[in-house]
Amino acid sequence: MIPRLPASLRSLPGPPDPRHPLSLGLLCGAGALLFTVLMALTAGSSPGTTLNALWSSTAGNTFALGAAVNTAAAILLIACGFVIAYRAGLVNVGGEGQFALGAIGATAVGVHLPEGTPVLIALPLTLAAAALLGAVWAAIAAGLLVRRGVNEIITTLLLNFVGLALLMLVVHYEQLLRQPVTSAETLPRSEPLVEAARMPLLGVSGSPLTVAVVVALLGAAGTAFLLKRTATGLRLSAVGHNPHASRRLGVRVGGLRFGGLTAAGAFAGVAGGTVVGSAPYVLSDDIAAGYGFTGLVAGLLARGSLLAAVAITSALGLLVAGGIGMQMAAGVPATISQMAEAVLVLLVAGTAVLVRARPRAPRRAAPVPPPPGPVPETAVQGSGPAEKEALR
Amino acid sequence: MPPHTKSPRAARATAWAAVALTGSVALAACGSDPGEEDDGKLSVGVFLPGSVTDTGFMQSAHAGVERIREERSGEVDISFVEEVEAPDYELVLTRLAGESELVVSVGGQTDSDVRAVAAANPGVTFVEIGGPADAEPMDNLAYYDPRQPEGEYLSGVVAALVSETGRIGFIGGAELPEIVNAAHAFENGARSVDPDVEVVQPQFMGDFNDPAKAMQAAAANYGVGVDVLSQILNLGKSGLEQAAEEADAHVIGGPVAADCGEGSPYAGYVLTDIGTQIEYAIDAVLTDTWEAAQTPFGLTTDREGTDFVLCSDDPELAEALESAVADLASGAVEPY
Amino acid sequence: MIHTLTELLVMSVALGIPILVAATAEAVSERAGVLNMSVEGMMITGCLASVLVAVQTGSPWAGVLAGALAGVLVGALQGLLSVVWRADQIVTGLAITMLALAGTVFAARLLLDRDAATPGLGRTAVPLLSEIPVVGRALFDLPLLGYVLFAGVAAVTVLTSRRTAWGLAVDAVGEDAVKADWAGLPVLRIRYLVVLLVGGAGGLSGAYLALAQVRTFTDHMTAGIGYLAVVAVIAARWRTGRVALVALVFGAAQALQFTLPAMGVSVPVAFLVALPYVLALVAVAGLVSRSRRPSALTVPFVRAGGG
Repeated sequence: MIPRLPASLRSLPGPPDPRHPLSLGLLCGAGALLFTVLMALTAGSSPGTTLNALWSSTAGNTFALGAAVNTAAAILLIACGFVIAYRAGLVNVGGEGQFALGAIGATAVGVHLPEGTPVLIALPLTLAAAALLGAVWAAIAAGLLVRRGVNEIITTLLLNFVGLALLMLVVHYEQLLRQPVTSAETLPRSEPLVEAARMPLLGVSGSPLTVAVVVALLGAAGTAFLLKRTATGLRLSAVGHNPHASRRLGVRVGGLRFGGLTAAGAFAGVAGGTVVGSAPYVLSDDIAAGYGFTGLVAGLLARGSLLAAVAITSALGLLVAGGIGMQMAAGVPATISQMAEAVLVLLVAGTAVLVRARPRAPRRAAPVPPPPGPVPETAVQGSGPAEKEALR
Repeated sequence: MPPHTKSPRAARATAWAAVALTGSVALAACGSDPGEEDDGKLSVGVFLPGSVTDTGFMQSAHAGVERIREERSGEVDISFVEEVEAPDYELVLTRLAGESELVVSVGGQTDSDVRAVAAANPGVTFVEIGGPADAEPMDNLAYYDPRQPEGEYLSGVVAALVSETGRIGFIGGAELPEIVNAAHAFENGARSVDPDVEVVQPQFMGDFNDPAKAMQAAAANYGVGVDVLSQILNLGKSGLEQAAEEADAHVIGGPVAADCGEGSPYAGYVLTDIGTQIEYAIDAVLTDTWEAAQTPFGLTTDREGTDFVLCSDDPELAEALESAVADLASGAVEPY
Repeated sequence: MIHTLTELLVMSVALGIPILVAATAEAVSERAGVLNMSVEGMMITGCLASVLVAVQTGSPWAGVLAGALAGVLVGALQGLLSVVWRADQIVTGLAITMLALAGTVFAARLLLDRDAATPGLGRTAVPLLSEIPVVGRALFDLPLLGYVLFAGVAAVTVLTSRRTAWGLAVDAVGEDAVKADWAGLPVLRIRYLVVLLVGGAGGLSGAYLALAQVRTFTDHMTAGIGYLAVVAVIAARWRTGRVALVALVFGAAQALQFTLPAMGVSVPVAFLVALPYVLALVAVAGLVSRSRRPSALTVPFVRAGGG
């Protein structure tokens, strides 16, 4: 089914509507860019130099672009999982810990596979192990939620730290995943993954682009399909909007919540698997840095639109590469790109209220005049785990 | 239609203006590309995965970069990148390799990525500082070893002699081989001057940069009677200082020295100068004497980098220190 | 044994105070329906501001004031975004924290003179009370600011307890903002004010950490205690009084990381690092009754027009 163009674009090409999500997004991007240039100015770098550095280190550089897409792919996966759980009314803050567990799972399988295993078996097996461990980690929080009513924000947040500690543990002991300790100098990390378990390169010359982007896009498409076209997706939404009513209608609220949060963990786990499967193919205790938060933010900002998720994760991936370029070429401190990312997120989140929602009601012969006052839809969209019920 | 605060026209005009502005700025940027300059200078890229204000390894390296920038700008074009997360190491190293003739990577945690990027860029010279001391160099990759345990051996000597309770300890940031070996060296150094000294179990924080935690860890140590602590921490050091002041005990600082002022809890500083290693690498490349080998620095070599600054006038202490330095330099003792 | 217990308690309180202060205010805010993931950002801003002003003026108390004000400013931003503009509370909270963490590193590089000593807050032992075995030193041998903060926490707890008008207003706004609005309560103003309160409390926690404990500013020095404060609120099930207990437990959990090795217990570093969080999880999971969050938590208030 071909998606219909939004009303504002369907008519004759005219000036962009600033309230349309796309133009608003671009405006926010421009705002973040302006902020970056201004801050770089305080650090002594002229706007021309800064912008040039940004351009040459992102779009103007094949390697950086490929690396940015790889990063974006991992973030997108986490964001997809986040959206699924969010639909069921749950906020998964545990992306980082689940990512770490996924990386552990992928490594556990990926270093122990026999050398001759064909890629078509090794790769799915590795990613499946990653998904499994990520899911298990989220299941702990999900179980506590469903059985004891413990808030998932708190459990997933705490499990992040425990997951990262587990990662530290695993790479420090040979009995676990540490490479054989041949001397007092052996670094605490795993052996490299078997060739077949690594993420295959897509073959674009001069680019580290891997299959991860395909996995991520498949995941996004799958998520969109699940949420919009299946009965499960509908039930998830029902649970998210009104668990009380859903329960009365016979929907298994507990089971769906459990499933939603666990699925989020599985997605984050796969993200971990794709990152450990990229160069340099070893597991170390700093591998999870930063993905969880970014994935969460991307998930929330996308507000259920997988297309927006792709756009946002790409922007975030590019920001990292851009930041590095600015450091090298323009002498701009690393913190500025972190600040720019935060400002971008703030702008997008802050202006989200202005976004004009597409008219959803079917057209009628005599259009009913809408009620005065701000459209109540914004309250629903802005809330999420909103109309939460007492019995949690 | 929800009421607008501005007329739709004005809102649209603003939107167009923003797009036009962004577009023209981007165009201007493209137009102002300075292009590559080939002026005969050696282009050097330094990779510091941590922060240059970490009062530790990275800051020491950065001090070297700044020195080179000031004193040798005629022959060297040096740039650096700092504060990078592990998943982005490869990208940074590749970018540096694309724009420099010599790439220096500081920190053993970058090892896997350095090896991968060095293999992919055979025309670029790589130096890794602080990598595994038994790693195989590659054709275009040399390893420079700061031999931090040497400094800690000296630290142990001083700690054992300064201690009045006979109990000393060590706090490390992370349980990395270099740090663990340094902890052993600390104990060995202490026992070399006082075989009965009690060295409590070394503590590894899991974080080089948390002063509040380091403070509590130190307080816990001082609480059980330790009165001299040595450390390999970055920003966590300030917590150690605090705890030492409150417990009226001593700390051994480093790798960057500060003042031995009145009433300072510091008994001395281990000096590990990473900057000299960067200078050494640049000199080696400039004079064509660069070797793809494991290159140690410190007391057993004539390449500098390790020293100890004592905060006391006690001649016996100074003598013991000198003697220990001599032992290490001659190879009579192994730090660990 | 007594000695170790005393040391443990001293450390638990020391580590628990910043959590306690921030969590008390955050509990009030969450009862009013506003979740602030930016507590960490408020704290770190308070840390930097307090150190900068203390170094400039030579007065640690000026620094404390500056820290509180800086926190309030961050709270003002958070309130603007989440209460007035109805942006997603979690996203904006996390983004503000990120901005604050990166921004303070940037600002510190530009403004902070790292060689200058930071005037700190010395300890003041309460005579007699600090002599009490085991608990005396922990509770009564603190910097003056510590006692001030205890008093503040007690005041906020009492003033917003469910039995007072303010407490009821806060709860009403958090349960059903629309009906509270009909009842005449200024919903937006109440919510904005509680966010400012959290800002000030966070700033004070940061000032305490930077001036009374470690006496310096270092990058990212809060190391996640802001998030622990949010967790503490939920673990205390939004009861302002219980927050103190939870904060102490969290402090103790952190303190155990160091007392265990000091006692000679040899445990992998990873276990020690995970210990506070595992204990927190157990504490939270062990609660028998189901937690009941304020129904309007994170729901922006929109006055639906026309009934």
